[in-house]
Order: sequence, then structure tokens, then C-alpha cells
Amino acid sequence: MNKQSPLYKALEERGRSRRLPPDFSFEIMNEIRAVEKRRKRRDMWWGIAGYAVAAFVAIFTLVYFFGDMFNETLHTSAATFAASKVSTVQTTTEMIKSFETSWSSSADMLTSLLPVSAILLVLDHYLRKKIAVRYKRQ
Amino acid sequence: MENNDRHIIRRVIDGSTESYKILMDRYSQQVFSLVVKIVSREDDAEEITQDVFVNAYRNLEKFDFRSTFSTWLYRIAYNEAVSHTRRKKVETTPIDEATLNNLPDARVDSFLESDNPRLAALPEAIEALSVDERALISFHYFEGIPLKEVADMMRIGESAAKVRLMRTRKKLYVLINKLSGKYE
Repeated sequence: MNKQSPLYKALEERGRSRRLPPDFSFEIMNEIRAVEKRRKRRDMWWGIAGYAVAAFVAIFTLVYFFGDMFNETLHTSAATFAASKVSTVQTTTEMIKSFETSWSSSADMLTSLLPVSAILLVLDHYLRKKIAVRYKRQ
Repeated sequence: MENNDRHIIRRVIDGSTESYKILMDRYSQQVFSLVVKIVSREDDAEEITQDVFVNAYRNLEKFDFRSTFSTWLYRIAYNEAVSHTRRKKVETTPIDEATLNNLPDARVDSFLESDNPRLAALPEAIEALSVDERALISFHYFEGIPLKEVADMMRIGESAAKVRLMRTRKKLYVLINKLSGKYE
């Protein structure tokens, strides 16, 4: 770079008198704040969409794999309840029995469901963390 | 300055949007001066400089600290200036290829380094160059950026940049002589 060369001087002269207006940073910062706001809103919508998909998968898993078990429990309870109308004592006994059966089935269902939900949540958390780390590294 | 830039960039990436103003205050005039030299219409320079800083903010996470922050900004400025010029369809003066090919390098070099009175037409000749050519000479001859780095910024090979630089110098020679009415 030869500062005495005619080319350097001609380039230096080009737009020499031009300066940025004093409020330049202020204007850009406003635009950047708007960009940031849009980005946060977009991230929020993606987050909502992610959770919606996870919830759908969880419900689908529930219905697909445990729907029959739940249905059966419901029918058994209804039948037991109808039969128990014969006598109050019998009904009470049957209802307790039915409740026990339902509780046992529900407990089975919950035992199977909790690990699935936990896995889904951990997976979601892990993926989000991984994506965030990757973006920071970039 | 570089370490300080790195620290500020990290802060911005971590969510401190307001810290970006420090970078802008530090580099906006520098970027603006470069853009004024590259674009043919000086009035567009402010708009392009704005776009440069907004785009830099959007892509800050992609800045890999391999170059200086100012070089990275210059690269964005160059891309913005080129796309802006393409949008506006700015005309450049065509020069006959054969004329350029027949010009000896030595003659052009000695002319451009001389105090020949015809060099008064140099600013006008620079104005007649394309945005790429103006960017090339501004980066290399004014900002003093090594040709290899300029080539990286313009996404061309170093040898292509060398050829383009020589061709631009020849073009300036022809234009100066045309403008001062003493060529041909």
C-alpha cells in the first residue's frame, strides 16, 4: 500500500466528505431489536410446534398400545356396576372389587407410560441442548 | 482490539443485543467509507451500510474468528454492494478486450505511479469501473488487504484476483486516456 500513489489518493478522495448521520447506530439498533423480536417469536412458535408433536406422539402411543387395556377396564367396571345393582351389599363389594381391578389396571398402564413420557421429555431436552450448543459453536 | 471484539461478539451471541452497538460505533464509519468507494452512487452507501450491519447481526453466530471482524464486515459489504448494484442495473463502460490484452503491464504500472497530468482523470476513470473492479482496488490499494485475503473475500482464486487486478489497472489506463482525449 503506497499512500503516495495517485491511485491511493484518488480512492481517498472518493467520498471523503461523506459521513454517517449521528443517529445511524440508533436506527440500526431499532431494526436489530425488531429482528431479534421476530426471531424470538419464531423460536417460540417452533417450540410450541415441537411440544405439540411430542404430545401427539405420546397420545398416539397411549391410544395405540394401551387403548385396549383401558377399554377393557372401562367395560369391566361398567358390567360390574350393572350387576352390582342386585343388592346394596353385593354392589358395595363388587364396586370395591371393580375399583381394585381398575386401579390395578391403571397402575399397570401408568407404570408403562411413565418411562415412555420420561424418555420423550429427556430426548426433547437433550436435542434442544445439542442444537443450542451447535449454534453457539458455529 | 481483536480480543475485545471477540469478547463483545460472544456477549452478543449470548443474547446481549445492546452490546452490538459497541461494534457498530467502532466499525460503521470504516464500513461506510469503504462502501462509498465501491458503489457508484454515493447516496446508496448509507442504505448498504445499514444492510451490512443488519446482515452481520443476523449471521454473527456464523463468524468463526478466523479473520478479523472488520475483514468479515468488508466481505459482507462487498456482497451487499454487488447485489445492490445488480438490483439497480448500473451501467459500466465497456472496453475492447484486444486493447487491454495488447497493453504492456510495465507501461501501465509506470503510468499509474507517475505524476502525469492526465492522471487528473483518475477519479472519473474509477467511477467508470464496475463494482467488482472498484472493490478490488479499494481493498488492495486503499485498505492494504493482501491479495490472497481479497481473493477469499471475493470468492475467487488468488491467481484470478491477480489477473483481475492487472486487468483493472489496464482498464484505468485506457479510461484515463480516453477521458483526457489523448488515447487513439
